[in-house]
Amino acid sequence: MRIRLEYKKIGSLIFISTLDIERMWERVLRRSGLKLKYTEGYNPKIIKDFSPAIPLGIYSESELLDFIITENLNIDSILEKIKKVSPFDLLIKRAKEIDENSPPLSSIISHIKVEIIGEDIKKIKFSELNFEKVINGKTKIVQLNKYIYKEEMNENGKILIVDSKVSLKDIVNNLNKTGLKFLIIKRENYILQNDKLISIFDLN
Amino acid sequence: MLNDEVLLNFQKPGRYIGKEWNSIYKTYEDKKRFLIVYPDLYEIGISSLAIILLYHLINKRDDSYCERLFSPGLDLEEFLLKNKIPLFSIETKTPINNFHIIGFSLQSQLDFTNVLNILNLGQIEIFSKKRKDLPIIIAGGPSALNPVPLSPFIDAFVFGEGEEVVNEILDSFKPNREEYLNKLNEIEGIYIPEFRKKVVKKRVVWDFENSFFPEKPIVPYIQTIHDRGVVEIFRGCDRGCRFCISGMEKRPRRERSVDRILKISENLLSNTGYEEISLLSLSTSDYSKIDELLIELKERLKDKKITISLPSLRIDNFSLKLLDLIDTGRKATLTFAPEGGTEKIRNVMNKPIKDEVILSVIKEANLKGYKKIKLYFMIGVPYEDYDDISGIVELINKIKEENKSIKLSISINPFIPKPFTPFQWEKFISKDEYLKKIKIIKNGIKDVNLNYRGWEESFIEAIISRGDESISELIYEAYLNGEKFSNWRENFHYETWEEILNKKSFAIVDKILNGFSVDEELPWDFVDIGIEKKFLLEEREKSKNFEITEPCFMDLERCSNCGVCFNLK
Repeated sequence: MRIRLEYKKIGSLIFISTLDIERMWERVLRRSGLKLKYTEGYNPKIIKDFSPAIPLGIYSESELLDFIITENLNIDSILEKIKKVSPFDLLIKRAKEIDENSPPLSSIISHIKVEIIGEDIKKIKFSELNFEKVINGKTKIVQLNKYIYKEEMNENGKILIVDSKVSLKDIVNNLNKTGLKFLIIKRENYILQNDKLISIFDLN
Repeated sequence: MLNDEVLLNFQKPGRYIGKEWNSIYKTYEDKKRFLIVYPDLYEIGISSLAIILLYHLINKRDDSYCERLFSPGLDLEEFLLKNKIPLFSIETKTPINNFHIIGFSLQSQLDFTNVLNILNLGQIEIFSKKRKDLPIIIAGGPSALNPVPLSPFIDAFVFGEGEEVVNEILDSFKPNREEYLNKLNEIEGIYIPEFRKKVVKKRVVWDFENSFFPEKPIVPYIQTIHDRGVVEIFRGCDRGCRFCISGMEKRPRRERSVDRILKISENLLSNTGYEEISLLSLSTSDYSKIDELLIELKERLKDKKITISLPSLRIDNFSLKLLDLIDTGRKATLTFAPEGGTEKIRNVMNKPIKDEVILSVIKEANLKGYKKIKLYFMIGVPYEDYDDISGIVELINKIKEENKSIKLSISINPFIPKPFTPFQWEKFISKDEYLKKIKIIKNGIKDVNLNYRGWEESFIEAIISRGDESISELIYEAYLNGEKFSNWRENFHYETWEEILNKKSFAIVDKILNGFSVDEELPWDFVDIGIEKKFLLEEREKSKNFEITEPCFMDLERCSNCGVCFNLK
């Protein structure tokens, strides 16, 4: 069974780097007692796939993890086994079975939704921003416009839906240069299909 | 109190956040509050078994709450000082001066300035005699065994093993400083410099089989130096290497049963999710039922994709057989410590390994596919002459010649005479001699990765290890001059230490460099680790004649009369 699981990155987990989060998951899954599928070789690791890395300090409402188990269990009992061995602040939202052959998360996530909170953030027009982006190790100035699918204001700040080619790290680096105070929450992972955004978790 | 989000501004904020799996959160208002401290960074300290063991042991008590502290990184330290925020515990972010008891685990003399720095950052008086109130500052661990250099800064020292005495320390707790110190003074194994008693015996956990072991240890989020599960399979070592303080200090040797080790291992792995388990001891292949243990352990873990690791292997064919038993196909670096280049000097050290054994083990390891070999040597051992140095060169070259395809790393340390060993009276090698000998080795070998420890940091460690009370001034002055994290080569500033050594003359430094007389009283003589001075002197005599002493393996008929089994009971 291939399982897709959605969890939140909040509280103490925002202080933990992506690599460390991946190691945390290795151990959570091992503790769960689930029969897991491992890689071959001398140092077998659980086969797992994550949604793209997010930098330290960023909250997320939707982080995704795929893994494979070699037994047939219902989703509720899988969730229960995992929740029982999850550290403080690792909040698991939901899980479902997906097609064994579905492509890796990084290749299907085309857009992400982020909420940028901060009074002064409302004044920024992201679509007009000259944006520094790291491309193949080199910093280039790009028009953010072509990467923005949607830009909206709300009571806290801004909501952006951006192409996943723009990483959260790029956004943080550019906002840091403004000197403004802000807080970022990643809200959702999407795939753009026939001009419609579909939440990755709703895919089959 | 500090807002957690501020911590995002510092390197590796995961060091300060806590909330790791198996970390413990309790209400604390009504508890005896204990802070356990390892005076180096989180990623070093959290890997210390002593810290993990005491943390979980104390937290089993309903009347106490033990929290953790490690040295803050330099960036956080600067921020705390600038904003006058006292250093705080990991769990509840409580300023450390609000604790009742602070216990330092001292594993290295070069951490001592960090101890003073932590007290200062915690807004606690650095000198014991200036403290009017709680917290009581306690220190234990191998580097506290000669307590004298730290005695002006520490209220109470604990000698020996902590599992039992820590409960006695908490049982006798009094909220009044003077009353509490008086109570602590009655506990065996505790030394209070202010009261100066004559002889203090170290503590030994005699029922090691049933003693507490953390089966639900904290699983850190961030990468640490030993990122794996650990089971202590036996304590103490009776090989009797004459340079080794652990080999003397942790006697007598006590084993855990195969059953208990298996039970601990299984619980530990299911409670942590670790993918690797390490069987810890001073000399793992000496465990009496090691074959049985490894076969059974491998069997029980076979479906769980767990790697078993064996640190501290002796260089003999038996060790290779053990590696076959746990073989996972992975050929990690094999590390051995011949220590000396000739059979003579290894006899002096009482680590008698024949050249032919070293050569045959490495040859066999090579054939088995171990392509990376690391060897440890020491320079400056008593009765060492230039033949012993050429011996290192010859041995290395022979190994290279016989095993063309291996990558050989050589690590060299100057020998530091340690208290409580048969070499406690010996001199520490001079800089000139050390460098000259290193040069001989360097020039004699090629295509070998050679690393050697700086003479300077070893010299400071040598001074503090056998220091007397005057050395407290050296530590204090170094701390005042900003010396910290001296164990990290990039942070060790010899100029700072040298300047203090030049400014004030410390009489004892002369003895460190030229040796102590066997007739004089040594600063640490009042600490009774159970080993008789007579035994140490006999061992010293034997080393002169290159004679060895066989291990006793805890068999009365093979007893070498060190005294530890009788003197402490």
